[in-house]
Amino acid sequence: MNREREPPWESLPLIALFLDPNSLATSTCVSKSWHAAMSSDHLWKPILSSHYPSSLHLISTSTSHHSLFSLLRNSTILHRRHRQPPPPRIALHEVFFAVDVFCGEVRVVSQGKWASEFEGDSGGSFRFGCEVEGESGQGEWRVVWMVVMEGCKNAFSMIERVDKGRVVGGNGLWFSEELPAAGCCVGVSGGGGGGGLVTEVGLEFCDGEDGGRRRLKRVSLGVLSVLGCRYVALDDGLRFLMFKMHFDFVT
Amino acid sequence: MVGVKKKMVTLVSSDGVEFVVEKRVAEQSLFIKNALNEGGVEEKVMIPIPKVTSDTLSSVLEYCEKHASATEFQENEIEEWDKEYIEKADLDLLYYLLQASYSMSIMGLMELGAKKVASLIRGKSPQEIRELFNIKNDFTPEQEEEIRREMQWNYE
Repeated sequence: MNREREPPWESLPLIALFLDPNSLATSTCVSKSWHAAMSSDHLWKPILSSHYPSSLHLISTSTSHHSLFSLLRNSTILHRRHRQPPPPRIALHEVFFAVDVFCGEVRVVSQGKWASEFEGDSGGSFRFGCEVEGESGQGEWRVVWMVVMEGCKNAFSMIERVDKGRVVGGNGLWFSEELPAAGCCVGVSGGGGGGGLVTEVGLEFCDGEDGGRRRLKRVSLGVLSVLGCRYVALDDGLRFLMFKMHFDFVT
Repeated sequence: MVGVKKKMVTLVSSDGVEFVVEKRVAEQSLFIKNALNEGGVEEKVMIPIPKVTSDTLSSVLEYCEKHASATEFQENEIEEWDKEYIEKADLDLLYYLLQASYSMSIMGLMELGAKKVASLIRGKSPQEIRELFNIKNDFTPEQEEEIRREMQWNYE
C-alpha cells in the first residue's frame, strides 16, 4: 500500500503511556512529530519525580521535565566514564624522548628517539628501556628526560635533577622525581599533596674490563604511581602527557 | 411484543458499504452514541463513518460486538479475546484500527491498539521504528545530533 503508515499523531500520547523511559526516549528520536509527542511534560514528570524527586524544584518554564531528566541521567553516565577514561589521543610514535645523563663533565647517555623505538614493557606499563654504551665519570649526576611532541609544538620535562642517585643492587643507579598533579589519571590521585606520580630514570652498569671505570649498559625510563608503588599503565602515562602538554600549552 | 425487536442502526463506511448492526453494538462508539442521542432516533438511521473503510469498519464492529456482550463473559475471557483480536491484526489494520478508534471514540480499542504499538516500539532503535511504521526522518542532521547528545544516557 502506498501511504504513510505513521500512526495518527493523536494516538502517540496514548501509546507513550505504555512505554518505559528508555523506549520513550528512543521514540523522541524518530521524527519531529514523535519528538513533540513523546517529550511532553506530562509523560516525563512522573519519570523525573520517581528518579530525582528533588530536581522538580528546578523545573521552570525554560526547562522541560524531559530535558532535565536527560541532563541528570547524562551526568551519571559521564561520572561512570570518568572511571573508564577514553583511550589517549596520542601514540608512542608521536612522542619523542630526549634523555641526557651527565656525570661530572662526562656525557654518559645521550639518547633521542621516538618512544615507539624504545623497548616497551611486555606488561603494558609506561616503562621503556634501551641498551646504551657509555662510561661513568666522576662527580655529581645530572639527569634530564624531556618529552617532546611531534612537530615540536609542546614539550614536558619528566625529570631534571642533579644528585647522587639511589644505588639499587650492585650495578643500578636510579633517579626519580615527583611529578606535579595532573588530575587526569585514574587511580593515581592522592599521594600526599604531590601529583601522585613519580618519574624514574634507571642506569644499569657492568664492571669495566681490567678494573677500569664501570660501563653503562642500559637505561630505563618509567612512570610510577606513588600510591600503588607500581608503574602506571601505558595509556595512563600517555593520558598524563596529553593532559600536561595541553595544560602547559594553554596556561 | 415491542422491545423484543432489536433496535438496529446502519453504519456507512467511507467507501459506501452499509453495515446493519444492533444499536447496543454501535454504541460502543461514543461518536455513534452521541450522534444517536442528538438525532432522537426511533426510526431506521444511517450514520456515515468518515475516513473508515469497510475493511476496517468490519474489524471495528467485530470488536464492538464482543464488547457489547462483555457481561456474558468472564473478564479473563474478554482479555484473551482482545489479545487474539489484536494479535491477528497486521500493521496496516493496526494502524487503521487506531485511527478508527480515535475518530469513532472507542476507548477500549484505542487502548488495545496503543498497547500493541507500544509493544512493537519497545527495544527498537529509532531507525527500526521508522522502518516499521514507514516514518520519514524529518530532523536536520544538526537537530538529530543535538537529540542524540541529549539522549546519550539512553544509548549506554
